[in-house]
Amino acid sequence: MISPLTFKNAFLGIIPSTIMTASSDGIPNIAYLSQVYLLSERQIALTTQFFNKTKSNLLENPLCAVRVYDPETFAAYEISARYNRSESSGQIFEQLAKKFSAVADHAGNSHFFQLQAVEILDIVDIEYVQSEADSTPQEVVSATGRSAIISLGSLQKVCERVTEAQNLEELFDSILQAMDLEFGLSHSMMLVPEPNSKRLITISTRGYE
Amino acid sequence: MLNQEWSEFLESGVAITLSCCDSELRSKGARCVGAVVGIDRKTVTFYIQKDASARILPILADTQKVAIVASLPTTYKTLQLKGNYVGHREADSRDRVILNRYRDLFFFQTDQAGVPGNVMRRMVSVPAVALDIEVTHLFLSTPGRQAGVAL
Repeated sequence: MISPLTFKNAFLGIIPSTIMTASSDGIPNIAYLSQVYLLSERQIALTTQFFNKTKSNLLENPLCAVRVYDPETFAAYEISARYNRSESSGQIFEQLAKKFSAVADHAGNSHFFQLQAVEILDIVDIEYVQSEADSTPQEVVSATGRSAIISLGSLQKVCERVTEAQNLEELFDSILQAMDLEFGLSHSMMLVPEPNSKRLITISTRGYE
Repeated sequence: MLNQEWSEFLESGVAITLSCCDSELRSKGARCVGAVVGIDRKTVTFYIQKDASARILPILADTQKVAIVASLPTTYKTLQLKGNYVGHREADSRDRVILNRYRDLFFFQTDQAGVPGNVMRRMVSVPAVALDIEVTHLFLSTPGRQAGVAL
């Protein structure tokens, strides 16, 4: 089986994914997904908002297929999966709820898009649907486009690092460290306005030691 | 039956995905590369790249059941059709006009939506197979509280 780690960009949500389910009497259904989350080589997660038919199908028939697209090549990967469980609390839910909320806020829809649950699916098989996109090697992504893709993944990693901070000092360090490791900004400093003055004071630096 | 609005919608630059499931209830899908609504507005012809169609044609011949979702990239307005596979044929030169028109409309949409254009233009349309689908049910699938409402 192809490892999902070989097409991680397809999980960035740049090209919308779909989930295909079927009821117990074989009636198919499709739903668009804002993003599919790769939990491990063996599991993916989906965030649930308006998933009525998909959810009822998964409870009747746990077999489904999730289509994701590589945003650099438009290659389609069809992930055959089996519904494992639904979570509405816990570490995975909290982590994805933060990401989901950030996306909804950015879209101005936070009042409307409430994360209800996270659906955990076990990966059964992965098929690369080769014929739907031209797979001949070529430089198809502009420098700007590639930069945007890389930045989105890096930004996600920065957010993950930031959420792990336990106190302010760790928060500042983790932001500057993440900017170094993910964006290559090896020299950075964080300054804030000093109360009751027009001066800035440095609260954290990296690369100037 | 499809009304004028949804007929025009299906023939515009919408992203189209088809799904079916085999007798073991395992789902498989394919990207459609164009659509034409029949005069009766009950039959719709969907085009699928020929090699990709080979993954699903045996299932369609066996079960006939199909779901198709069409979504406009710039607005997320989405329609889901359910119906039965009627038959298929290889797309010919007359179909090429429809396939080319769809590519223009679809890429205009994805460009507007900010998806890298040179990536989307990797989508392969030909050779294609034309699938005739008899539509039995329509559902609004635009994300929101009305998603799933029968039309």
